Amino acid sequence: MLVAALLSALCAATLAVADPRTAQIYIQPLATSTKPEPLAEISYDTLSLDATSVVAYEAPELPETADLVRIGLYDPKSSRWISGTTVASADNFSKGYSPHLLLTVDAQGEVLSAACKGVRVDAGQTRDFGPQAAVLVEGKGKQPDLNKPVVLSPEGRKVEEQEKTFLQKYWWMIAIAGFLALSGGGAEK
Amino acid sequence: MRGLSNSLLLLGLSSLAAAVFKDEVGDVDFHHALFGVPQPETTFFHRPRKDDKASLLYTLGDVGVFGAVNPSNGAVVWRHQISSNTTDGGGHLRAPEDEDWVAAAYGHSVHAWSAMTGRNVWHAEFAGQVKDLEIMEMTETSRKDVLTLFQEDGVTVLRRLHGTLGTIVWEFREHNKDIPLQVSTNIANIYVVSLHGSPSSYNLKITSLDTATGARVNDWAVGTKGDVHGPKDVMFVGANSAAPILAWADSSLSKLNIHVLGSKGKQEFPLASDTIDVAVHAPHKIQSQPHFLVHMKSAAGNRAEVHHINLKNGQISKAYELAHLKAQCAFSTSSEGANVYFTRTCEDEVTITSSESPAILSRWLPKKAHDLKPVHAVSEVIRKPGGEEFAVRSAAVTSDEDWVMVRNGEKDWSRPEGLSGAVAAVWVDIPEAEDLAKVLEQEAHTNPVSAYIHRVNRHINDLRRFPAWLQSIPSRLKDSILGGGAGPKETGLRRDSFGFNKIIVLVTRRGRVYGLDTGNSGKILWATQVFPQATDHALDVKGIVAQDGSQVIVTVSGSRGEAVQVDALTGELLSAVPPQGSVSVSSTAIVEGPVGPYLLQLSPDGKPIGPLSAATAPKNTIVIRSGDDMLKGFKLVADEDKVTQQEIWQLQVMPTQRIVQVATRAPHDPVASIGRVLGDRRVSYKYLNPNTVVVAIFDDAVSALSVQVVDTVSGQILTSQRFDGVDGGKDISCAIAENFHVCSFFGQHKLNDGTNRLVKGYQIVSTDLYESPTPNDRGPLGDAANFSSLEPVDTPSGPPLPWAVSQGWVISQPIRTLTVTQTRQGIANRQILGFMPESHGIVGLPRVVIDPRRPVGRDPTPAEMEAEGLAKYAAALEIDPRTIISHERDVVGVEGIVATPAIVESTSLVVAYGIDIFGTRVAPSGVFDILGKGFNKTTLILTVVSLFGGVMFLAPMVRRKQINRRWEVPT
Repeated sequence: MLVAALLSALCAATLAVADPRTAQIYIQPLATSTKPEPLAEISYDTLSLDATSVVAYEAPELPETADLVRIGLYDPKSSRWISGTTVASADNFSKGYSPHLLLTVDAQGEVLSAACKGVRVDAGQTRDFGPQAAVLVEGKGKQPDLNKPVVLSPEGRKVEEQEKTFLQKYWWMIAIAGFLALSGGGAEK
Repeated sequence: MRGLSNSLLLLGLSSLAAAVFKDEVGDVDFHHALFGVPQPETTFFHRPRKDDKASLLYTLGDVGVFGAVNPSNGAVVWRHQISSNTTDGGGHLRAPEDEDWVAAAYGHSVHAWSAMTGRNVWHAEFAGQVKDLEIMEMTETSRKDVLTLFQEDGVTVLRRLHGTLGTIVWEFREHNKDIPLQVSTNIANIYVVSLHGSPSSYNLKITSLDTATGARVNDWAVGTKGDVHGPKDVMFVGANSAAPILAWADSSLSKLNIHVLGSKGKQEFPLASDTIDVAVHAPHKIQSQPHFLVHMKSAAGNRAEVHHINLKNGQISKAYELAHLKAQCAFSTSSEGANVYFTRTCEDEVTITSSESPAILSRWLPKKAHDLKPVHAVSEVIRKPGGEEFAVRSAAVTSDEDWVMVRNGEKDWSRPEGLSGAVAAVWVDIPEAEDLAKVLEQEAHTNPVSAYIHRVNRHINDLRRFPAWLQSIPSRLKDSILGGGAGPKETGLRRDSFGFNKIIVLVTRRGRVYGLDTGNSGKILWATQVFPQATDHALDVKGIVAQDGSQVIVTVSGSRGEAVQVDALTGELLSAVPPQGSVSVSSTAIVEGPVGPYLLQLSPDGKPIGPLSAATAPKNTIVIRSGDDMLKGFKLVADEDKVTQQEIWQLQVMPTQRIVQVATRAPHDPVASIGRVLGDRRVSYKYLNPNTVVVAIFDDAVSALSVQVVDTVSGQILTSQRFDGVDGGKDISCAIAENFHVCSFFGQHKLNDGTNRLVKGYQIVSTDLYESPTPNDRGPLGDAANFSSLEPVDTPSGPPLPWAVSQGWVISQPIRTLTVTQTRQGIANRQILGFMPESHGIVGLPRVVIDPRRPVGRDPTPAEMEAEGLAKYAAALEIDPRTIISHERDVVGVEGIVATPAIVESTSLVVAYGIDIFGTRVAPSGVFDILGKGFNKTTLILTVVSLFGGVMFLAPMVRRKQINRRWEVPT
């Protein structure tokens, strides 16, 4: 049972490691009819979110008139947005801000929506003005917290959890005491 | 310590539950228990006890509620829903003569109920759809049985069910493509009537069966010459009578064809040339004479003909006719022994005639004030002991959709059955009769002389009311001293100082708008028919909004482009746009205009319907749900004089997913405190973004529910949770307010705590959003006064995202149509209101009960209990009967709940609508700002007076003593 669980966890871990995904984020000024342009490519893995990285980033060249931009995943072949799109101010890409790209993905890693938020760079603290990426994985729904299950013996009696013996409980204390007694023994004068 | 904390806990919990007290029932709440508009074929008088002459009035209304009404006062004796959902008419209800049960059928099920108490006798479920239900009055045994006609897939099935057990006695099955229509019996046989042929021209096919075995005896067809195109074209009358008949009119309404069951062929009768509608009335009893009445309606009035059937040869002969009357009349049949009486209930006249002769047996003239406009009626005629005197009572459905009892020409009672089937509701403040502030403002804007004259005139006008005011002083003084503390006493439609008097405007699916006064036990102030609907068409309301001002205007918009404006105080129709064939309104947006909110009708692709200029176009983002698979945000961009639509953002769902609900917060959602003080004196700051909605998305492929909080300005998904193993066929309901949202659904899933246990049941999940995971930290935005969903963040931190804390509970029964109470300032706690369809009640769950911060697996610390009122978490949430705000009232078929704040902070007004209308006041934190009824003003005044008397009496004594002491000679 335990072995099987361990094995499956291991398998899942290997699978997850073997499955980093990438997402192409596009950008389009709202008021114009220009085609969406690629903005960034993000590589992510739903099981190790620390590994999320911006593979490629191209600072958008936005027309002067554009004040709002649309961001999302786009399929240039079918000319359709293939994820939820969001809107952001063009100022998010201006100087002094580092664009934070946010991907909301479901548990399988499918992108639900993409967003971008510019965050002011503290020039005194860091030299890293580059874009950052973060992935928000759809959380598992909260389940009711049940009490510990009641374990019944084959006779149908409630099985009391075996009380640990003194030695099982406090062996580490005895070990420390012993260690102290052996090593220290007080300063010899 | 433990004992202490437990008792504290109990103390805390008991204060949470603000139960409804017995003396508040009927005072704070009201309930319209309704049946729906009674259907003519399922409404009748019936004697529930064999040896008792008293009869009850039974009906099955068009929303699927059936039951018994006391004919003397119109009170409900018992009531049941025929299906778990609101029906669109249909269903069957029959009562056997001299038996104490009634039989009902709808959909797959047939059931029998005790006629007196409404208790269930038996219940049976079958495949297919029930087409007819009839009582078999004559059987080979002493009991009476039930005949049910079902249509299965290509099979016509007739079952005879045991009257007292509900078991199958015999079954008749026939494989054919016919449409089963009706079943009927006479003394000899059972007849199954079905339509045979194609929709262009059906013939009537009649199969006669043996009563004892259900074996086929004979079948024959009756040609209709293309006059019958569907089941609705055949009138079938006199089931169970000695000579049941089938009748149908030709398309030009020039002649009526009648076939007597059991005979061959049909007989034709000419109809009057101005006939626009025809109906046939006949007795339903086997001992009654085989007479029937043909009711011919013309545009101006109506006339009738009475025919007799010769039982020996099946020949029909015309006996007499009732002359044309220029009034709206309803005919009804009543039989006593062999005698058959026809009652003609008109607006200004009620007459009884015997089926034998045209002589009028009795005549009454109802008062004009009754304003009867009978559409159809059922009657009970009683011959008074001694001979020639008659009494009649008729339960008539009027064209105002009221159910009225007319007893000997006098209106006895009236039930507002048209109020059932409400589909939309809006709260309206009663406009103030005279707003002093407005008058003063007006005076300030005119020149000094005219303002002065205006003012003097105003004062003189005010003086007129001075004597009345003087006269009212004693009574008001008496009331304020002797009367109980609580509640407003004023009657009449005006604002009260507590804000309890409001108008709720309801729109029914039949296209009628009602105004109810919630301060006066939900009295119906007015009812206006605005969108008359065809018989099997329901009004689909897409938006309703109230516009405050000196005249409160309620605007209602329907799905076919119809729109109407009604004065909320009088029900007067201010403007009406009829439905337009080509227009389809998929949603409406409430837009804040210069004079208040108005409705913007939107087509399925999000285009605004109707003219919009650059000045009136709303500037805000409009969010619409396009179909079941997309949520869109768009703006209307004014380009010179053209308004174009610009899509801003979209929320797509996967191909197997669908959006089940978009929960929005109430327009009035004040927040009293931006933080939540925790037990350890730290503060968790609430994530308070007014532009958020909760989107519930269901995935049919994997039965998972995804609950997403979406920023409606940017379209960004702020948080998202996915619940596995959710039943998409059951109700999924969410509500959002302040910084929390609540969802309820049915789920079955394995626990992921490692124990692999299975949880199955109705669940409620509550989620709080905070600015950051750590208390005392306000996240990336810090103390910034402004926040934009679009602009970049000006502090070097990170993108601001809410921190969600969730908890789930298993509840014992489904709760749907979740709503949150609203109070004026948002200081009082909130309650989550929901309808419990299984126990027919409305529950107000206190927010602390479904607080995600309830400690799991440990008792709360005293500090936590004091600061947050937390109780220990338990996975099973029992519905405390004290939290059921509808207490013992049986509220059925609630489709929506609306709440509004009163003027006093403690109280929120709530109305639940659907089949029934239920209204109440809830005080989630107790009525802390109103004196209770137990407050005794007399005692208080007496105490003050006696104290004053004591002081007056003692003061001179004390003074004298003090003076004496000074003058005392020191010893």
